[in-house]
Amino acid sequence: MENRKRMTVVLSLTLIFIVAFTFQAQAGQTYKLGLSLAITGPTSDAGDPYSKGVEDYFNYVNDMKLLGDDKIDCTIRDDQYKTDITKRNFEDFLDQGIVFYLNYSTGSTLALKKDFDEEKMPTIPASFHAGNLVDSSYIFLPIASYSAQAIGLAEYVVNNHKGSTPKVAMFIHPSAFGRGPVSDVEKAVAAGLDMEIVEVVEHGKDLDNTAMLKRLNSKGVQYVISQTIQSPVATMLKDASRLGMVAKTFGEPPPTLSPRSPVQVRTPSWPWPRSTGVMIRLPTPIITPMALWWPRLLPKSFDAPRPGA
Amino acid sequence: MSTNRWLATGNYFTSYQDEQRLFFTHLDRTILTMFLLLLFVWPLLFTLSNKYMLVIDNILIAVVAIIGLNIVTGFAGLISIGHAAFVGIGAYTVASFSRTLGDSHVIITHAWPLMIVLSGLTGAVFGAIVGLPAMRLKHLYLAIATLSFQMIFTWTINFLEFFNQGQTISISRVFWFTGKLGRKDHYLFWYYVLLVVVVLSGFMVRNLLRTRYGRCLSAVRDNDRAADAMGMHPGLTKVYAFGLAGFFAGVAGALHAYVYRGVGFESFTLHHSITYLAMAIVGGLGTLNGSFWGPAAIITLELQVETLAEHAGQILPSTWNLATALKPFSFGLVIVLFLMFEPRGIANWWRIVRSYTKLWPFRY
Amino acid sequence: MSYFFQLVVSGIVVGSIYALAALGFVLIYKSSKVLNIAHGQIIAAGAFIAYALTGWVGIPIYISFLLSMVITFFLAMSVERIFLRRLIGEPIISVIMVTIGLMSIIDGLIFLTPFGSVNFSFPQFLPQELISFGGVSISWTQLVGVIVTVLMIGGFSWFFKKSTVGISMRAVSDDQFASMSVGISVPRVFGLAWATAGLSAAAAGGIIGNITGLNFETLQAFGITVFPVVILGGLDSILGAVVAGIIMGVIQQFASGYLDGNWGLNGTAEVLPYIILLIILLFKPHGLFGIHEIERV
Repeated sequence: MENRKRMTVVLSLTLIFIVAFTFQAQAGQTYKLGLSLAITGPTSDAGDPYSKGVEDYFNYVNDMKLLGDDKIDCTIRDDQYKTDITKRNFEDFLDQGIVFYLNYSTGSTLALKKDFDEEKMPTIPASFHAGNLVDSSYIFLPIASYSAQAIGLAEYVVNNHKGSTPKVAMFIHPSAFGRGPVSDVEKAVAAGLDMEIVEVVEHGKDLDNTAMLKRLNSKGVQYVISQTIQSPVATMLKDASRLGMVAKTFGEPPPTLSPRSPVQVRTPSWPWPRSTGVMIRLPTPIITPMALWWPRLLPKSFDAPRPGA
Repeated sequence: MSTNRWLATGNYFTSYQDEQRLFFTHLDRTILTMFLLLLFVWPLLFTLSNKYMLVIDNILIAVVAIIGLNIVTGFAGLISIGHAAFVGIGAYTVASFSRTLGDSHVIITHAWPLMIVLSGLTGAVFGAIVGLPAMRLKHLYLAIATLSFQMIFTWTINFLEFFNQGQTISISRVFWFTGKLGRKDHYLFWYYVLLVVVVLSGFMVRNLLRTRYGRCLSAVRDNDRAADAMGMHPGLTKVYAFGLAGFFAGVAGALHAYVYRGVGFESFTLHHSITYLAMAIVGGLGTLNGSFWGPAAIITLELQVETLAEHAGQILPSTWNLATALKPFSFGLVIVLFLMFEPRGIANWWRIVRSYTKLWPFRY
Repeated sequence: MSYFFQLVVSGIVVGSIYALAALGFVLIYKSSKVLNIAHGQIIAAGAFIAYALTGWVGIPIYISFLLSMVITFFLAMSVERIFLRRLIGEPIISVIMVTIGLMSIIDGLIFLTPFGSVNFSFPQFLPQELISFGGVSISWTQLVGVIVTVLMIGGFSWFFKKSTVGISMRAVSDDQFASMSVGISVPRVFGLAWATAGLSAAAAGGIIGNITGLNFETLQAFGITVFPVVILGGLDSILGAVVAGIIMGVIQQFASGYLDGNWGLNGTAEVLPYIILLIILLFKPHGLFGIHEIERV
């Protein structure tokens, strides 16, 4: 009696499995992916749209049958920018049997680097920190690293600057993500890039950058390369535009300017692809946690009579 | 003392020694022994996935840290909003060895028990130093002094090149008698280490509370002037409470460094300090068993909400941020509800259950 | 020299905004001895409400600022009524923890709105020109911020000194039992304290939001940023908040103006307030203007 009951259970289970697998075979394969990122917490203003982008993109891939009958199933988890939770999410994804992992922050990518290698898990982080690639063979950057971007900007400055050696300041986020490119830009300068890095400013939660801007101005800084998140740059730009330090366009002959508001700054699109050959190949409109701005700091007196105006 | 050594339906204390005993009945001791045995044996019987093993390790690390926090905030009544920084001190003690000697030096991989104790001692030293303002400061002013320490700690780690400016400093896997640990048994191994540490620190604190030094703490908490009049030194007591808290936090930090195989400042921010406080309070301040309940409850809650949010996210349109919002919302709600309706924490439920079963079948 | 004066002026401007944000802490602490950790969230909420009213509903911006103050007034009052009324008489740490819980709850609520993930900025409504005198310049936004701060702080000082309600609030902070016995409704006073704190938070939110833009993380971090200000001034002194706010503002500006970039230092403005706070607390354990509580056994 007991045996028969067990047999029925076993049989029905096998049947279910067989049916399930046949259906699956018809539906093609499902690839599991995992994404752990900061939907809440620090840098969530970039993380939240990033998660939506990834979600929509994989829906698009599945709906448009870009992979034929195969499907992608991407689990998205919030880690609140905490490395501990990222690690937990990653272990969870491994248990679920992912074939590909998407990560987010610089800190957690560096922290989990060894795990990626041990598990041989290909990983695309949303952080394009150049240090991600050091001693690691499973992390891939889909676009140029922050360092390459910053050097690209520096080259752009050097190529388009007229006159003597351009003086540049860097305005960076106080973290690995912000500091990463600095040393690489310095290396580029040491290797012969005709540029002078006057100062590297790590910003805090400042409400007023007037003093800093005036200091940079007195040191003769002409360009600021930023490597940080949006809101500090916004604060700085507002102050800079008030002080009349922001140039309207770069390199091109400026259109007629009203005597005092050369404000309108270009939004951080990606201006350098043509010069450095970097293309954004990621299929989704990915917003990086980085906003690059290049307000050109000019003494006020230079403002009115610009060459060509 | 009741005649039945296994069951006692009342206190039956006839001397202070009676009241001070670790176990009141044989049954208490047996149950605890069985429970501990179970904790040691279950991983042999079935295997848990890495994720949950990590979660359990995490809970145990938090337990060690909370035992420390409970000494300073629960028993001595000094609010500390910088506990994560003490944990960080412990972790960075290991990390600084890794920085100077390389991450797989023998001291780190083989002499790890020594490293853990050393981290505890460093934590204790820093705890005592940070506790110094407690000689003069009180209440919220002291709380903010600890907050200052938290901020200074974070900034220092972030600034100094020696600490890799807050980026992860890796720490190699340790060696056991069977050789280097593999990735598979990493979490299991640390589960056992953590379990031993937790049991040891549990007994340490339980015994501490039986001595005059432990009673000193609660005396200073309840009224430090009165404690002064009774011949205790409130200032020194507070400093040593901070020192002890720092010790446990340091041990927790070193364990954190080993379990996560790396140290980065992101694990020791103000946010974590606040979470530790939440754990201590939900567990029940000023109780030893609260130190076990709190971390378990908060971390389990976090996991549950995560699953719930995931399910909600699948049902609801993704344009809604509901899934994202659910996590902090429910976390906050649980803390608030707890404090509104059970301010003495889960430890109080435990007390009720215990006294009920102890007196059963009588009502009182 | 003009650089020095610029730093001083910027410091005073920033400091007075700190003072306004710190005012909310002081108002609540003064009557109910509670440190409201969720204050940063209320600041953010105030700013977001103002933006929603002007950006989405289309109310003129000045009116929407006033309306947002009114709304947070009632919002904070109901927060007190729902969450904190029950906790009167509980140990201080429980009450602090409730405000921490509250922080998470408000976080959750804000994540429900677009403000949780998208950055907004207020429409420009003040002149863009700089106000310059003798090489020192501040913006209109900052000037208006200072004026609002001065007005609010003056108003609250008058309120506590002269008005009946204000005096009853001071009475409650002095001795709850005594004030109950003369017929003051202590719960109502607590509610009012939270409400006024909410009002000042909305004002602070409006000003900060105008300077930094409306980013949730930045705005709510302000609750923590002003801690040293609150403590330095003494938790229960409005004057203390103003003086400490300005001291901290100037110190921060000097730190980023003179220390950063020299000797390899960077970001000192973040940490220096706390170091100075610790040093000052060693000499004045109740802050600069805090009331010394005389304890008797």
